[in-house]
Amino acid sequence: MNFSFLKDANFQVRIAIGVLLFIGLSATIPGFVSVPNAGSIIENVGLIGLVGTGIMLTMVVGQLDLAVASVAAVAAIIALTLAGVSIVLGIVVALVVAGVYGSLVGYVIDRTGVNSLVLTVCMLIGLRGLALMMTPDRPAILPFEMFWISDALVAQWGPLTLLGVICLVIIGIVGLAMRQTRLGLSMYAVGGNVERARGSGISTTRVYMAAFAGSAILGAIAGILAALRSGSASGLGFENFLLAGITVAVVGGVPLEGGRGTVINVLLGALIIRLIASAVALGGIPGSFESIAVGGILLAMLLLDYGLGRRRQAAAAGSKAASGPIQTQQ
Amino acid sequence: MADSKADNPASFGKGGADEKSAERKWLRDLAPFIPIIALGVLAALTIDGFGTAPNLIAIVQASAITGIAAIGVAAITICGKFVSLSIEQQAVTSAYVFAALYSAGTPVALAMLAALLVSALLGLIQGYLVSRGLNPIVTTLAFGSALFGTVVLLADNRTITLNPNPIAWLGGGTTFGVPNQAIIFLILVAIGSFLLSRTKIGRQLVLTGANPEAAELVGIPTKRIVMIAFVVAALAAAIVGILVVGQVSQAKSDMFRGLTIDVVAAVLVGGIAIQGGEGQLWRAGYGAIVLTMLSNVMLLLGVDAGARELLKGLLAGAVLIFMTVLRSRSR
Repeated sequence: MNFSFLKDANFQVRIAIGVLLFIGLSATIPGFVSVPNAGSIIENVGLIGLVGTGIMLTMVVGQLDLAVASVAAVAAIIALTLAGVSIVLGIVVALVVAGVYGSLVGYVIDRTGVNSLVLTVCMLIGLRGLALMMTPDRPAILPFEMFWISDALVAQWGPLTLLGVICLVIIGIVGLAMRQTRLGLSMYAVGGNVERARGSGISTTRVYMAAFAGSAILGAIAGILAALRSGSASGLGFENFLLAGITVAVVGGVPLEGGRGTVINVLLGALIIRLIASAVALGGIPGSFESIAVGGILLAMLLLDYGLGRRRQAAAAGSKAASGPIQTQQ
Repeated sequence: MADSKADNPASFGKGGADEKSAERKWLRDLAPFIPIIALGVLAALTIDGFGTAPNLIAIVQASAITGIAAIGVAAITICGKFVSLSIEQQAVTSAYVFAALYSAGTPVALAMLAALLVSALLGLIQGYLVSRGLNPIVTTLAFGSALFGTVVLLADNRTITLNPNPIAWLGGGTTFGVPNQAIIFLILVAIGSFLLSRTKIGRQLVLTGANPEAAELVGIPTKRIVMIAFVVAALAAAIVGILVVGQVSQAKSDMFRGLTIDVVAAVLVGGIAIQGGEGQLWRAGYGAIVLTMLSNVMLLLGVDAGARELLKGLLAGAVLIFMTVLRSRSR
C-alpha cells in the first residue's frame, strides 16, 4: 500500500479541516458525539461516498460525469418497479442498464472526442425525463411485504448500519481495484497524460468505458440503496446527488485535471460534508445554511487547490534541476 | 431551401478537397436548422392550427424566458468557458432583490437597477474566479448553491407578492398583439448579435474562445473578456428574473426550477460549438425556440412531460455529437 498521499499538502489541509471541524462541533453542539449520530454520519458518508467515488473515477481519467443524479433516479425506479416480481431481479436489471448506459457514454466520448461535461448534462436532462416517464402518476414504491429490507438496512449495530457497511465495502473494493488492477492503473495513466498513455499501448476506449460505466453503476447502487431505505423512488428524486457527489470528490482533494485521486480522498470529503450537514440538522440552524456551507466549502477548496497548485508550480520551476522529475510521480 | 437541400447529397461525392470542406462547413451551418424544419413541416401537416400566427406568437412568448437567459450564457460558451450552472439561482436572486426592494417602497426603476447591479456583481465574482483558471462548471455549481442558500436564508423562505404589480405590463402585456416578453427577447437577440459581430469586444470574445493563448499573445485581455461574458450572462438572468416577477406578481424560491437545464439545452440545440470560438448569439435564442416548439407540438399530441424531457436531452446530445464530429472531420 502506498502512503505517499499523507505527505501531500492538499491532503494535510483537508485532514486538518476534518479534525478541527470534528473538535469544534463536538464541543459546541450537544448530542453531536453520540452513537446514533455517529451511525447516521457513517451511513450518509457511505451513501454520498458511493456517488463521489463514481464521479472520482471519471475525474481520474480527466473527464467529469454530471449525469449521476438522473442515473440514480432511473436505477432506483427500475429496481423498485421490478421489486413486485423479484427485488434481486430488479437490482440486477437496474445495474446492467446503468453499466450498459455508462459504457456507451464512455465509448462515445472516446470515439468522438465530445466534451464529457456537456454530453453528460444532456444525459442528465434525458434520463430525468425517462425517470419521470416511468413514474407518471406516483413514485415507485417498495411492496409492503418487503419493508423488512428497509428495516434491515438501517438497523443499528453500535454506530454501524448494514447500509453503511455495504457502501463502505463497495468503496473499499473500488479503491483496491484502482490500485491493484491493470485497468485501474491505466485510468491514472490516461488521466495523467492521454498521449503518453496511448503511446504506451493503453486502450483509451476501455479506460473511458470503464470509468463511465463505473460512475453509472456506483450512482445506481447509491440510488437503489437510498430508495430501499426510504421505500420509494420518485421521478424527481436524488437531485442533490450531483452537487453532493462533485463536492465530496473536490473537497476530498481529487484534482479536476485528472490523473490523481483515491477513495481515501472521497471518504475524507464525504466526512467533512456530513459533519457539516449533521451539525446543521442537530443545531437547529435553517436548512438553507447547508447549501451555503456546501457551496462555500466547495468554492474554498477550488481556490485552495488553485493556490497550492500555483505554489507548487512556482516551486517546481525554481528547483527544477534538483527535484523536478520526482514531482511527476503521484 | 428545399431545392438546395435536395442538391446536397448529389454534390457531396464530387469535387476536390477544398470544395468538400466548404461543403462540410455549409452543412455545419445548416445542421441546426434541420430539426426545426423537420419539426415545423411535421407539425404543420399533422396538427390543425399549428402554423397560425397566434400559435407561432405563443411559441415565441413561451421561449422568451429561456431564450433571454440562453443568449447570455452563449457569451460564456463562445468565450470558451462552456456554460454556467448558476442561471436559476441568479434569476431567483434578481427576482427577490427586485420584489423585496419594491415592497419596501423603493421606486420601480431603482429596484430594477439594484437587481441588475447585484446580478452584475455576482457575475463578476464568478467571472473573476473562472478567468483565473478555475473550472467554470464546478465553480458556478458551487456558487449557485451558496447563492441560493443565502437568498433563501435572507428571505426566510417566504414568497414576496407584489400587490399592485407595477410591471405587469412588462411581464404579461402585449404590444400590437405581440407579447412584450417576446419583443424584449428579439431586441436583446438583435443587440447581442450586433455587439458580437460588429464590435471590438465581440470579436475579442470569439478569439478568446477560439484560442486563448493566441488571443493573449496578440494583446487581447482574455481575463477581462471572460469576466465580461459572465457579467453578460448574469445580466440576462437578472432580466429574466424581473420579467417573470412582472408576469406572476411574486418572487419565490422555486420559481425558476429547471431553467438552467433548459438554457444549457437551448445553447446546445442552437448549435453553438461548445468548445467556444465560434457561433452566433442568436443561435441560443433559436435553440430556445426549437425546444419550445418541440414541447408545444408534443403537448398538442398529448405526450407526457417525462417524454418531452427525454427528447430534449437526446436532441441536445445528438446535436452536440454531430457538431463535434463535423468539426473534427473538417480539420
